[in-house]
Amino acid sequence: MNTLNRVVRFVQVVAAVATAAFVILLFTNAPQKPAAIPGSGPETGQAIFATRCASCHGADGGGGYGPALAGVVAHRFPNPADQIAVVANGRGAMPSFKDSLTPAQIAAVVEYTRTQL
Amino acid sequence: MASATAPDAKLAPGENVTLLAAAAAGAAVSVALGVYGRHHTPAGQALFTLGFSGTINMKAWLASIVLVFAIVQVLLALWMYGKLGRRAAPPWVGPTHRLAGTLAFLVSLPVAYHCLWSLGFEAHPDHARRFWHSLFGCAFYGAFTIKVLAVRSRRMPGWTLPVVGGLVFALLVGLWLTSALWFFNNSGFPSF
Repeated sequence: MNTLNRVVRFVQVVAAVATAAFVILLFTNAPQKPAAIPGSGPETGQAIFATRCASCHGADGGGGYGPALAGVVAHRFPNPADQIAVVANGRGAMPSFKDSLTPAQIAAVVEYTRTQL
Repeated sequence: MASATAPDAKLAPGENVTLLAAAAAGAAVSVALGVYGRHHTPAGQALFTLGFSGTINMKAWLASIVLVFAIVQVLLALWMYGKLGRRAAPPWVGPTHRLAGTLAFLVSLPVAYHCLWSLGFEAHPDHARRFWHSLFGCAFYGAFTIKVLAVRSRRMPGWTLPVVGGLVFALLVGLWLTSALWFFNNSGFPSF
């Protein structure tokens, strides 16, 4: 029992420290600058997806905070221009990417989501 | 324990003040998290993924681990309150109950951190799943705060702990249903 109580006490101290770290990091942790994107080539869309989209849409495009893209996005947007417009201008909780990606990069990541996921 | 098994509905002098103070502290935590999530610019990034293939995958699995710890905690609480058979709970049940709860809270922190820092608070009810998930998340930590204060205080009515504990568990189930279950349904299981 003493050992168990000591373990409980230790985990409680760890939890208290983790809570303090949680609060401090919320206010001090600045987002990292996104990794450089290859300017052209087939890996461009994949690199953009991995660095800009996967955190919300899932590493495999299966969805997460944002909706699933894999296997469904081409049906949802039969016209790629409509999907490009959403990526460029944002919609709902999805941010706009027109200031951080070039039109060619947006087209590349849209193409990637429609054909490679 | 006697007061917990036969709760007195009437509040003794001072109990209502202590209960209100704890409720106010819990509400403050919930509101603070919501305000942060609403006004912080979402980073849209992961701080770490702990070996999982993505942030979402990590969060879904950690949330599931939290739920398992919570279920263990509830079962042990029922045992302590004499609701699981006639056999009295052995002495190790109490500390193990506290350990399970603390571990659940500890494992929940990286999930909450990535929700708040990376994604923020969804305030639009049209995005129902995210809206309710955001509300449940903020309410969960508020209720957890009240529960921690109730555990530490001797000046609260006996029904506080089981009621608030039940609320914490219900909110956690709501959180899991609107995140991990949804994720596993969409991405398949196990989706590491």
